[in-house]
Amino acid sequence: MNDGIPPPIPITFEPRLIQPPLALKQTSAFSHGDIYIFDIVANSSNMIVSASNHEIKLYNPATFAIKNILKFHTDTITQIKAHGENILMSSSKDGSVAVWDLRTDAGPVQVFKTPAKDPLLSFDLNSSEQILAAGTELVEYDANIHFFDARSNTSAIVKTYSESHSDDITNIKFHPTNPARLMTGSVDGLICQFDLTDMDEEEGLMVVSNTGASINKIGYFGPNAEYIYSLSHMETLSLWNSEDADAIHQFGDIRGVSNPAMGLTLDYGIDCQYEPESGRLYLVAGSNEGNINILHVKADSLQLCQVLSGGHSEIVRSTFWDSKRGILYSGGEDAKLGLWNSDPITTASSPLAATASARHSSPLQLKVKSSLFERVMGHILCLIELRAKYTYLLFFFDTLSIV
Amino acid sequence: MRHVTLKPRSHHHLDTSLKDGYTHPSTWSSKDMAIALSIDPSIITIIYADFTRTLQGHYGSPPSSLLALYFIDSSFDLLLRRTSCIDIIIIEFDSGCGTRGKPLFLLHRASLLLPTGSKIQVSAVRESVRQVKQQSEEKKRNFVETVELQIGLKNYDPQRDKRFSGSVRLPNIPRPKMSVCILGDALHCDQAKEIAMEYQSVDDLKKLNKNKKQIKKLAKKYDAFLASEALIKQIPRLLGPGLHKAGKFPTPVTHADNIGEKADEIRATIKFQLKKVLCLGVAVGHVDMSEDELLANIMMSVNFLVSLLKKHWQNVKTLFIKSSMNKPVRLY
Repeated sequence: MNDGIPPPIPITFEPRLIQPPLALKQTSAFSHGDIYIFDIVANSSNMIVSASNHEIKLYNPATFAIKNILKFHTDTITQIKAHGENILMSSSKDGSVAVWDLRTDAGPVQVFKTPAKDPLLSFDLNSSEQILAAGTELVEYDANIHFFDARSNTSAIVKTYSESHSDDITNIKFHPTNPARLMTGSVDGLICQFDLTDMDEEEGLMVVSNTGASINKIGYFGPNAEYIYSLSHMETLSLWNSEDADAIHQFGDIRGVSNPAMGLTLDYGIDCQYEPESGRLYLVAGSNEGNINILHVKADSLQLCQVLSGGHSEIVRSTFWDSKRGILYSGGEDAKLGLWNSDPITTASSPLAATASARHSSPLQLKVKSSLFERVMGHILCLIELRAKYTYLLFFFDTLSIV
Repeated sequence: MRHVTLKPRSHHHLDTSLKDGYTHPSTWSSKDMAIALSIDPSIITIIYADFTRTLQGHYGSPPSSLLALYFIDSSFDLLLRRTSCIDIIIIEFDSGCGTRGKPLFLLHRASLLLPTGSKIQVSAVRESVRQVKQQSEEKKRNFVETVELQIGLKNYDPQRDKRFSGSVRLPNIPRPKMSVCILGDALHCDQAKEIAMEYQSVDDLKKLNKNKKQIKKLAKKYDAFLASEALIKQIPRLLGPGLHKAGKFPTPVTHADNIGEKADEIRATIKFQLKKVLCLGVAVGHVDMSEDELLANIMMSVNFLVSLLKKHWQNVKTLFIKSSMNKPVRLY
């Protein structure tokens, strides 16, 4: 009887967890043309964005003024990661991990390459900054984890694990404090945890969790990284114990929390984020129309904290949320970058938004710095859409007398 | 006073006469509408009685027709997300527009209102299934042919769109011959013996002595594995990554689970993944399944896959079903 609509998951509204609430401060276009924004990372001096044209752009995090364009990769950039204030690392399907010094204008300061140009999907640096691990796509029959010595000048592979996954390795995550503990996630559904002390794949394989679904994002969370979250490509969410790999809770298809009365439409998960200060795990998820939903993940239930709307019109691919400073960056398939923060500004909502909120009591204060032209066009487009939808209905009304 | 009546549809409760004569609403002519209008009102049930109160509550004075219907649309959202396929939405007016109690007209652009309204009609799929089975009958093979669903996508860029990968459990087992072995603790091994399921105990696994060749042989021997919860933790120690490469890491079972059912669950689950080419093939059944069973599996697969696509039906270019040795039959 399944018709593609997932079973409902109960959800409560808990806006007090994000106070003051985030509001849209600014949007900016990455470029003209049909570009997708893949990833965003930020620190106090830079907002760093990777896009589908194989470029990485640096922006001023407050003004969105462009600072630099990093061109090097020749294929899809699969992950970017900032390290401190000045270092950026990026992996690509071109088979390399590039290390950039953001203060210089030149190209990457170091490049780690796989000799066979194995497309790299994910990477991480361990807590002692000595080991760089990168996960590959499935090439022929092998999906590899390549290890590099991060401290050396050569970019030679030190070790390769090739037995532990049977499909694309989408996630590589080192333990936040234990430099010898690594976690990998793959399209084959397995979360493998390794002890790297002896650098032996067989002996080092500690525990395995079979999530049963193609893994999109995994991560450690908890005060001592004692838990793991797992988001799949089918939009299922599950929580696991990192010590013994046992399942804590399977939420199932998170699209089931969609609840129009709350103004909540959830079509896909973006990522989870752990907030150490409060001990809370958040789920950031989006709608196909560009809404960003922030949910609090409890041991066996979900709470909606806030819906961020008005910033995007297409799928949001990445968010970077500094919950301590109350700043969130977003980017997606509409090539737009969004800046959201909790600055108190007076509300100014458009008439259409008012109609929506009257029905759905949206908690969001919508402040869009759009021109009058854009607002008018917005209204007109809505009316046209309405009209097209109901042209068929009007037909009926015309023929009513015949019937 | 305006209210709405809905006709929920499921494979089992649908009135047979309606099911057989069902065609997609967008192809209906005025003659069809006249026929549809004569549906016996007694089989139309009102569900969600609350809805009618909401409708009245929001509008003080009688609204214009268009506005009322717009309101219905947006309030339906929650409703439609919770019910199974709705094909027909009948709006009944009993003030000045016709005889009370008789449906006046059909709002049958259901796909406009339904978030995942199916674009393929059950009768067309049934016809294609009939063709596929017929093809297979005509050229009998000495093995049971698999029935495969082939989906061609469009407006999807594998280089930059989100990955399309997952698995779905079908209502009827497409691969009944799939061999499942349980790596069991004492209780599960006993249960396996009772239902003639293949099993390996902890001792059996210890005997393999982590010999790579033996473990590979075990991995090759069965299509899938189950493992007792307690045992799963020991697998890395007992077998290393031996089962990983074959993509056969076991699915956990608890003492509360029925291992026969769990094995069937595995047999009924199909995996799908889109890589670089814009087409996808999944085995949804075999030719010895009944029409109804194949139909249910196909509808389930299609609706599930479409729901995961960003633009849903706009991302689907073609749909075919075929048996292993024969030509594909088009569905969409």
